[in-house]
Parts: sequence; structure tokens; C-alpha cells
Amino acid sequence: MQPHIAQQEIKQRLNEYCWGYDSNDMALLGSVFTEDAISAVTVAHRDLSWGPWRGKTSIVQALSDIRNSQQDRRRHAIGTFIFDTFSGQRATARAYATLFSYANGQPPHLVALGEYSLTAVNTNTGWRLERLEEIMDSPF
Amino acid sequence: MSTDHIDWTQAQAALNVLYQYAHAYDAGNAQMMETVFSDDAISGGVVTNSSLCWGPWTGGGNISSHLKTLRESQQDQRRHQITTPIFTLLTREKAIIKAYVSVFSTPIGGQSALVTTGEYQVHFSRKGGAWKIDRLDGVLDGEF
Repeated sequence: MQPHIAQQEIKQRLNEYCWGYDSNDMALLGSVFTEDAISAVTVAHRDLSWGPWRGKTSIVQALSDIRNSQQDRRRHAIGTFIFDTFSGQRATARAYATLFSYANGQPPHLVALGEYSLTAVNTNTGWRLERLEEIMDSPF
Repeated sequence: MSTDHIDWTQAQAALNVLYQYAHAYDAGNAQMMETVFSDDAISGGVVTNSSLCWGPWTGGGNISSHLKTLRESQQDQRRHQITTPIFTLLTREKAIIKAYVSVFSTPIGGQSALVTTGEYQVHFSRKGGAWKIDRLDGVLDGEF
């Protein structure tokens, strides 16, 4: 597989993760991970973090709980994707996240910026995320 | 999401057409805008929790003309930033993309600010080797 073809699929996995979280579609969110994936969320320069969660089931449950505690609508806008390593079977990449919120009488507004760092592996069902870390620049 | 029906070789080419739509609108370039739509395309949109909407308009030339009029009613610089695209269908001839849009405005001599966020659902087909938009539906989270 050509690297740029595989990289499109890996980008799609991260974007599906964001759509899954934002629309509270936990089946879609879970589908992007390997069974033994690990994931965590931290806020830079603060003693604030969630996870790490180990295993797809734990990740989905934890993120579902967080999502259900948020009464607004969120949009995780992803861009500025770069691949640090790519072997055909394994890739590491980073992307910027811009988090917006709306609803509850509030117009759309910026909540926080941050970045994702991921490891993707080529499985027999396509590329899946084995590791996903979200580092936000401020609380969200 | 199953990706059995995804032909990733076509992904960037289809995405480029959506990006071209954003650039064409922001630049007020009706000629470029007309090239992104198929002749029988349909496009429109709504604002969540509002009666505000645009379209639906039918026909690439008609859509382009309406969007030009809408753009000319806005005196600021607009930037439609397209992010987080996902393909729900992508073959060599058809594609469906969902993507987020963040709309920013900069008044002449003023400061840039977020106007609204939202999402697009876009249906494409490849005609004569070129990807065209057959249907573009927008849902914005606030007024624009």
C-alpha cells in the first residue's frame, strides 16, 4: 500500500474518533481502536489528566461517561496532520485539535486547543489506533 | 465504521473539490464555484435552532450565482476552514464526505473572530475524470 493511501485511512480513524465523541456515537468511537489500545487525556502544565485507559472497552466506557457529563455540543476540529514514522504496518502521527462548543444558549465558541499523538497499526480489518493521547493546552 | 467500500486512492481528489468550494466562496469567485458542482447539483443549508437557511438551489450555475449574491452581501473577509473529514462512501465513481466547518470573519481593518461552526454532508460523483459535487448540505451551529 502506498504511504499516502494508508495515511488517508489513518487520518480517517482519528476523524472518526472525533465524530464519534462529538455525536456521542460510541460504536463509531470504539471502532477506531485495537482491542488492546491505550488512551489518555492530559492538560499541559496542569495537574489534570484522565486515564490512561487500557483496552477498547475501558476507553469507550470512560469517554462515554465524560461525554454524557457534558451538556453542550462539542466539535473537535482536526487539522495540521503530520506523520513522524511510517513502515507500512505501523505509523506514528500527530495532529492539532481545535475544540469548539455550542448549545445551552451559547453561540459557537472556542474552548481549547491541543494536539493528538497516535500510534496506528495495520490489522486484518484495516488501520486501527493502538495508542491515542490527547494533550490539551488548557482545561476544556 | 466499515471501510470495505472505501477506495482510498480517490480520497484527496474528492476532498480537494470540497476545499475548492470553501476557497471559491471566501474569494467570491463564482467561476471557480461553478466548476465544483455538477450541472444538476443541489445545495442548501440550515442553521440549528433558527429559521435561517439558504437554498436549496438546483443546478451548478444557479447555486454558484446564489452563493455569489450571498457572499457579496458580506463585507468582511470570510474563511471557511474545513476539518475532520470522514468518508462514509468512496469508490472510483462516488463519494460521500462529512466534514466540520469553522467560519471565521475579519472585518476590513478589524480583528478576526469565529462566526460559527457547523458541518457539511457532501455527495460527489466522478464525471469525465473529474470529481464534482452532486449535493452539498450544510448545518451551521449558529447564525452567520
